[in-house]
Amino acid sequence: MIHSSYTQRWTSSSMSDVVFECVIPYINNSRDRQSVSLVCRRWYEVEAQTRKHVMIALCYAATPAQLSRRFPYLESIKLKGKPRAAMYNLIPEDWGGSVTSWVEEIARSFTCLKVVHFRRMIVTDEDLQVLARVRGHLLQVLKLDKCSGFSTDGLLHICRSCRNLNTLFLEESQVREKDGEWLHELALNNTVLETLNFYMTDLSQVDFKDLELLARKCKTLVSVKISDCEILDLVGFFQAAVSLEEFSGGCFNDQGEDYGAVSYPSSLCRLGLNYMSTNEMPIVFPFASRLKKLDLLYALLDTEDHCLLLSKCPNLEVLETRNVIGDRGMEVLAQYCKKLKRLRIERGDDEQEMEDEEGIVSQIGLTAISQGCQDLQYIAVYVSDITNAALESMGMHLKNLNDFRLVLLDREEVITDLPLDNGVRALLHGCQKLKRFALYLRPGGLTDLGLTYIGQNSQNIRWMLLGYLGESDEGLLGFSKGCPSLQKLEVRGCCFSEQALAIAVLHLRSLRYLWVQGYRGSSNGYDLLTMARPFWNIEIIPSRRVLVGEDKEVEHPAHILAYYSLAGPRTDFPPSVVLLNSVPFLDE
Amino acid sequence: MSGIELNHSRPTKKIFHRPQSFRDIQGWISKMNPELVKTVIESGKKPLCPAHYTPTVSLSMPETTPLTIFYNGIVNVYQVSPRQAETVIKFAYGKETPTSPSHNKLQTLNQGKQDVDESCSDLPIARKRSLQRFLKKRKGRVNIGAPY
Repeated sequence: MIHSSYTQRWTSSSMSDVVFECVIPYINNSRDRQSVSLVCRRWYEVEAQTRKHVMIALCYAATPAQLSRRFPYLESIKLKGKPRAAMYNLIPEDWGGSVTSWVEEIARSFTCLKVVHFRRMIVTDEDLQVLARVRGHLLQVLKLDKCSGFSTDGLLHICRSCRNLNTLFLEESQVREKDGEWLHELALNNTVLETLNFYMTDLSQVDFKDLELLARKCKTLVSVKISDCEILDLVGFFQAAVSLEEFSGGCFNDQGEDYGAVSYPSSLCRLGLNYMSTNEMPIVFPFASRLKKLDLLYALLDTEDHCLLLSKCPNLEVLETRNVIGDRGMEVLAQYCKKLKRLRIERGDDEQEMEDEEGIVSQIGLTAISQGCQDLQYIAVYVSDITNAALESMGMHLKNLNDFRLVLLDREEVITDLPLDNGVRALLHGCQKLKRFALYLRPGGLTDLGLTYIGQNSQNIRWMLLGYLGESDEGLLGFSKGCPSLQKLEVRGCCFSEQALAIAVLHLRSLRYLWVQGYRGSSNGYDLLTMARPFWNIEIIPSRRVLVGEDKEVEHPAHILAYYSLAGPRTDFPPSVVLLNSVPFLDE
Repeated sequence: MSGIELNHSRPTKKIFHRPQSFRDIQGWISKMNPELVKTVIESGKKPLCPAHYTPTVSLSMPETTPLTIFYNGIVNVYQVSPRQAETVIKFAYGKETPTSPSHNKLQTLNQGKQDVDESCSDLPIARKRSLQRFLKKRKGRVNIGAPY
């Protein structure tokens, strides 16, 4: 039997090629495609020719030329630049992440490109001009996501040339504003827009009449998120936007006016009204029952308001708000919002007068949520108090959880139940679908044993943020023996030594990216070289003083950033970054 | 007229990489803000890790010796390690001590490490930029509305 299996021809190679070429276009999952490309050279080539979308999690991992050489027919590119910590003002502004070399390659090579998404990168007006000129006719989606370096002039180029644009996304980008011409051009030239987003930008010179024109012309306009613009000025816009499902932004400036008279599109089901307070809240009541998504992060509601509003939203699937929701609000959610899938609870103001005194979330709210909202897939929460039992309850009930993030605030000196070793273990053990995990506690919050538990119970987790966890290097080393799928690790405020960090990196077999702030350094940084290896870049941002406000300086401890790269050490680093590869150590 | 004498009684380790005259030292130390100097020294006295940590990697704790600072009629004596003394002196001096170019960036690294060791547990929970922006704006709205 064994002998015949060697002599039997299963299929001729040309037949299997044809079959494979018919099948491959249906394989969209990037990890599947990755596996496919490793089978043999022929499959590698076919896969490369048919790959439509690539996401590069750190833009320095490969060069633009390498990307175009392997995937010449890409239709969609997503690039990320600055480390995630940039969203928390921790990364120097000039750190890097310029798109220019990528845009040049796009202009040169990617002839099928329709979708461009840059996240946390530096984009210039000239980059946008080149993109508009060379790829403008094909471009359908442009997302400048938390980017900086460009002005409204750059947007003008895009809006003039990209008539097939169905998505223009600028959320949280820092845009130099010269005028509102770009929106005017967009309204004049475009009839197919579906998504417009300049939420959380400071673009204030946009004319609401242009918004109205856009809504009238673009029958498929589905999602609009804008900067601060008086709601009363948008009456015409809301009347024209008949297909609108999602709206965020605006503001309520006039205390006396009747905002209840504003009528909203009948299909509106995803909403975020900024600066909405107790007085204006009732305008939402008539259609609260069809709301699927509610963004209250930038609203002015107190705990009682939350309880009232949320009790009217039985179809809510996504809620984002601040911890002013309180435990009571969480209990209301658990009772009324059984379809909840994503819950994000951010940290409100520290000043007592600025937020409701009931506005804290603790194990009480978490336990209620775990029992009431069992469809939950994503939870991110800042808590003021926590217990092992609450985490155990989550592990027991939230079987669909794929993303868990918990931060323990530092206001309260005494926490009910620390360390959280057993609770964390139970949570990880119970939530087998977890892919992302963040835990940010305080000294004493998790022992070395607890950290080892995390390692042992994270089979599928790909991204982790560890904040103030463990007690010593032993914890980190125990952790690093597990986490078989961990690709990206962020560590903050833990007292691990350079040596332990370097050894942990060598243990974590899937790790391709490490970011650390706060660690026990060696006298010269050389202990990190324990993890030196081919294709592994090691960068350090030494500790620096940062000006906050006008005259106050804050100390920012050193960062380590290490990542796999096919491009070698980068050459565009600013003075605030030190590449460990370039430090001469041979002449010691 | 305040005179300052920096008297670190551990002569073997060279703190500066080039000789400094006593007059030079007196000159720049007299420009120091005494409160700041105190802060730097106090921060040097904090344990490397807070009480909860039990590091298994044994740090070779350098021996501490007295550092005496005479300033403005007050005499303060601190037990510091050579590295901590170096920090105080560098801080007071106000700039990096010059070294050979190839070690310059490393020098920055070293300085960073000293600060890191003492403050790795002092990182405040960082705020998300978008929320920070909103909270600031909200405060602005409240202040505008205030009657006075």
